[in-house]
Amino acid sequence: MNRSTVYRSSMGLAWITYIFLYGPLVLVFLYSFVHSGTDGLSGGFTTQWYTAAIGSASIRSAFLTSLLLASGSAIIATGLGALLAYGLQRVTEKARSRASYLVYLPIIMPSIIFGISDMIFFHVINRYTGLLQAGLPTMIIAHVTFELPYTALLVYSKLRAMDPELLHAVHDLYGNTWQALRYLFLPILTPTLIGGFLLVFTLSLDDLVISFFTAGPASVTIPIYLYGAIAKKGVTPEINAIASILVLASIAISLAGTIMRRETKPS
Amino acid sequence: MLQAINRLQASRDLLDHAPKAVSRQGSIDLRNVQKVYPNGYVATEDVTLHIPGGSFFTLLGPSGCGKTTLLRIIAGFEEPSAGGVLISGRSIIGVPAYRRPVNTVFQSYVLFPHLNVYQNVEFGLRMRHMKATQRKHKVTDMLDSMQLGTLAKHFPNQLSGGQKQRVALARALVNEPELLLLDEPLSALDAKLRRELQVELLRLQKSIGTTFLFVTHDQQEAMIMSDQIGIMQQGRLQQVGKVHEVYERPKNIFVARFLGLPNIIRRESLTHTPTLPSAIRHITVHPERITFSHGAGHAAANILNGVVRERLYMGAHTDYVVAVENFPDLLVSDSSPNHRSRETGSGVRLVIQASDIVPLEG
Amino acid sequence: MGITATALSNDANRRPRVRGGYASAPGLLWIALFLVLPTFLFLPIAITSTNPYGLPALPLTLHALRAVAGFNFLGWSAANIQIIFRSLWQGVVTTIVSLIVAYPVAFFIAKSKNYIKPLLLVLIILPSWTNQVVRAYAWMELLGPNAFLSHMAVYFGWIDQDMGLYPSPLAVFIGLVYSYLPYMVIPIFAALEGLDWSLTEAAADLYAHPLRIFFQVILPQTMGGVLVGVVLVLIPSFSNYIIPELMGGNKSLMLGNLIANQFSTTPDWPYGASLSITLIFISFILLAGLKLLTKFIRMIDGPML
Repeated sequence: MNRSTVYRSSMGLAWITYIFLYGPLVLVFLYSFVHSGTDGLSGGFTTQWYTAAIGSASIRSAFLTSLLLASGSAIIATGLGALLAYGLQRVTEKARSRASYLVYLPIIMPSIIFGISDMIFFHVINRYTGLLQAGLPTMIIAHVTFELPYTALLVYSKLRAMDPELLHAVHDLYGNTWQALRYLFLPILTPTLIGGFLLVFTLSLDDLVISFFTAGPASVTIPIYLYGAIAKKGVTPEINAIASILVLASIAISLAGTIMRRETKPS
Repeated sequence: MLQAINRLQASRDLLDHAPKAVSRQGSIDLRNVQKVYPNGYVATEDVTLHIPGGSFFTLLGPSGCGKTTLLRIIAGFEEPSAGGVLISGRSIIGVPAYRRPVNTVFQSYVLFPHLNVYQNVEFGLRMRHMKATQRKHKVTDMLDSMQLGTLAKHFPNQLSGGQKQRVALARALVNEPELLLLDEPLSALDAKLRRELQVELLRLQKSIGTTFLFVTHDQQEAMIMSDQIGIMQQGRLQQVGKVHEVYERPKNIFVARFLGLPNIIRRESLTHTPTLPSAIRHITVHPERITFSHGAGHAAANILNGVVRERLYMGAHTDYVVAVENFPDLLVSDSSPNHRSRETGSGVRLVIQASDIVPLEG
Repeated sequence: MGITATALSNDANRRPRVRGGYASAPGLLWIALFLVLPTFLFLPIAITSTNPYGLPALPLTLHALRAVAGFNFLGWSAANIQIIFRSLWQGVVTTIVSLIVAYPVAFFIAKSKNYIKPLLLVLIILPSWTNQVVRAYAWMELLGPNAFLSHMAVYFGWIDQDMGLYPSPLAVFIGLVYSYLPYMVIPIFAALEGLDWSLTEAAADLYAHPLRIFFQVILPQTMGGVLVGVVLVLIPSFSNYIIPELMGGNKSLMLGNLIANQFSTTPDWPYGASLSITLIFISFILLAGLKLLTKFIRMIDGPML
């Protein structure tokens, strides 16, 4: 067995893996165009399910909720994360490693405990203050919490990669702290900020568990809707249609985010 | 508030004690400047220095000697732990960098990567809210005089080292500062480019008259460009003075060695010396001052017999490494054309005049 | 004069250091307020009793915690311990299979031409950006009773007619590997990228068998990446509950499902909280164990390289 056979067998396995990864999704996409009944793909193609999905009020409202949740939480998370990263960069190594426990916590925490804890927390606050009734606001808060590490880490690594003397150069050229923010950091960080925004936007769109537990009776997101529909009806072309839309949207947005971030880091 | 008042009063105290000549535009005064870092590292210790306005001053020393620290203190990126700093007679302690009439050319240029050459150069003017039309005049003039006109739209990552260097200079000088700080700006360039830029910088300084404070570890560079040099080691100023003064009469062993003066001899080895304080234990003689004896007697001079170990023909002069018993190998520099009798291995007699002996502390 | 100057300059010197650090405060406070605090509110519920609706009530008791260990009113039952071990097993098997599949794939990408590497990488990551419900759903479709794969399985006699390949432990397992495979590929790929291939060439030059080369030269140097991948896969797959819920039917109950049930279908909050404590506890042990392993590997790797 020589080197090229090693390479070729790993390539073979890789191809199988790619098929394994994409096959199911492709299938879902294909099966969103079939007529109902068990004819399968041989029965001809139709877009009836897509039109039905767009026409359904509940599905449209779920899309809207998902969109609001994702964009609202992403904006807040990007802003807070940038601040967090800036502060982390200015303190000592010791302080940074202590803060990192907090920063990484949302990523490590199993989502089910995350969701349940927040559910209880909001419930208690609501009981005693009447604020934060379970619904979009609580979902946004919870989403921001799990998105923060991502935006913060992205901005932080970009800040680290920046020449630390750049800030001194700004000061040397009569720029004060505000001007440094506006004319140095913001322009350089913009691609990272946008990339981070798109990344957590996708994460929010795809979240099920945390959304589920912090949701109110009226707040249904697409994943929640899908989950309920699948549990009730199992596999149907209609669900395939909705799922396909979600998948395509996620992929498109994530790709855009990656391209933005590629402009800043080489790997 | 109270702190601010105290600071003002202290600066005025410093001014009252300062000699009047200090107020000349662009002069620098360091008074007992000390910088100690929180971990205990002492970067500079009791540095007192006066740099006249309009001069080209170089701080010279090995890495870690504190020269860059002093530069950063003057620029405003660090505050001294103790001591006073005045620019043009005004104290700048506590004054943030963006309010000092000082501009810096950094060792790694630190050009703004997201701005093109034109925008880089106009940056300081923009921060000071100069009107756009005025900015345009100044920037285009500066770019033209630095021969950067064609590169105005280029970005830093498209420039060569020498071009980046000139952009960094332009960016600093367009603000017409009282003082320009240069932190080893030529160290990243190849030898030929370095030579060219050294001459350019010298001419530039002479023509615009801004005080240049230049930091380097290259002793040749320092000697070529400066009016005065200050040599630092381990946070202390070893010697300050005009270039030729320092070269002719180095104060101590460190300075002598750093300037490349090789002949460091124990004082007892020589019989004919000028009167020296008893604390002096070493002396040096410049290689150019040691001559070869023609045999005739020399009064009041030290005569040494030695053997030529190496002969290095340098064109304008010839260097000889001569081994003398009980002495370190001596370097003799001879610009006379007669060299037939001084091949490697031949015996020679060296003459060292008492008047050429330079005492060294330490 | 020098002394007054010292006293003044000193506080100017102390000023700039920490100020920028306060920018982190809002973000850190947010996480503390909306994750740490809620968790600390939630976990103590483990020692409360239940009211008729399953919600927490006084008096405090260790009843729920003991229930986790298997002590309920019928005496001791091994059911919970079984669930915990099954979940652990689920995590471990997923991790091992992911590792076996991921390594060659990572190897392939690492050895590909440079211009195609980013594309191959993105292709691996893309599926993980899709919704996990959709991913589980996609497999439900593929493994349903009417699907091709199920027909094949019936043909081979592995399952009965009209049964699908899902719901079943196998389906859960496939779904998990599908979800977490990319997270194993990426770190291993990163480690392979940083590899010094000249060592491999040298070994090949000395007639070493490829398998030997792999185990003695390549694998040790990529252990770091392998461990990262393990961390990224083991803990989430062990605590995952969506996929077992959708694809496992009622036969294989995992820790995650059990916890979820305590807050939806059959409410028993203290019990749910105790189970959650167990989950967190086990996760931390796994994490700590892996960290120790990393340190250990680094130590023996050091002198060898």
